[in-house]
Amino acid sequence: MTMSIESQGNLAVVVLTGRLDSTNAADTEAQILAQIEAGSPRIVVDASGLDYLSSAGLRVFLVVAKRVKASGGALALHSLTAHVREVFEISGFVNVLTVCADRDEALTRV
Amino acid sequence: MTATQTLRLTNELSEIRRLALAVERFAERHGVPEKAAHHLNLAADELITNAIAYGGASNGHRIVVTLRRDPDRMTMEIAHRGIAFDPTEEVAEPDPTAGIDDRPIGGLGVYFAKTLLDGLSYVRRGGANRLTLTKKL
Repeated sequence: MTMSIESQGNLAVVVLTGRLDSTNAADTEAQILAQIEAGSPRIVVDASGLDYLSSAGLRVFLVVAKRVKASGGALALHSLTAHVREVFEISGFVNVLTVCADRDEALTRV
Repeated sequence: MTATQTLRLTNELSEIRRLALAVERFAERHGVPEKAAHHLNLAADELITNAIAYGGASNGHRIVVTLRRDPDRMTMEIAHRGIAFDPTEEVAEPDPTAGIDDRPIGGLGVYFAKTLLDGLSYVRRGGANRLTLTKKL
């Protein structure tokens, strides 16, 4: 998986590409939490290139959502692929996390 | 006409990716739809991650995975030695209405496997845990 983070003020846009699973979940979580600690509690995740997500990866978003909430921020994900959307639906996370159609919408939700 | 393929994995998480590639290639070669292959891969990932993380697959033992394509289904058997562990007994289903604060961190993997597959069975035989994952086609 590749991950890039662009931060502007209190907003960070995280672009995830490839697979998010038990092999890289801990590292991904640590990098996103570091952004929040560094003063960016508004997190937008661009998942358009994320083609595989396991429960270990889903857990990353739950941890991040709890942390941004505690920091007075918000998390929004956008452009989910079919595989990733299915995982969100099975787990019910689609009702718990903010899932948007595109980046413009996600930016208005954080 | 039945096709089979056997893979031997070490008990490291990175092996899940090697398995995923092998499953994708096997599925392509034997006319298994991409979505079904993805479901098998995701279920196998969850079950193998559990086996490695919670000690079911002990050090030095291989995890032997056998892929099988029958006319109406694709199955995957995952066999590993180590302590007896039956993941099918875990029945916790997530509460789809629970809010962010009430969501436990974890416990979803086996639920995913059960939801995505048409069958998941466990047997302890010959000192090994044997899981059979079935996807109807």
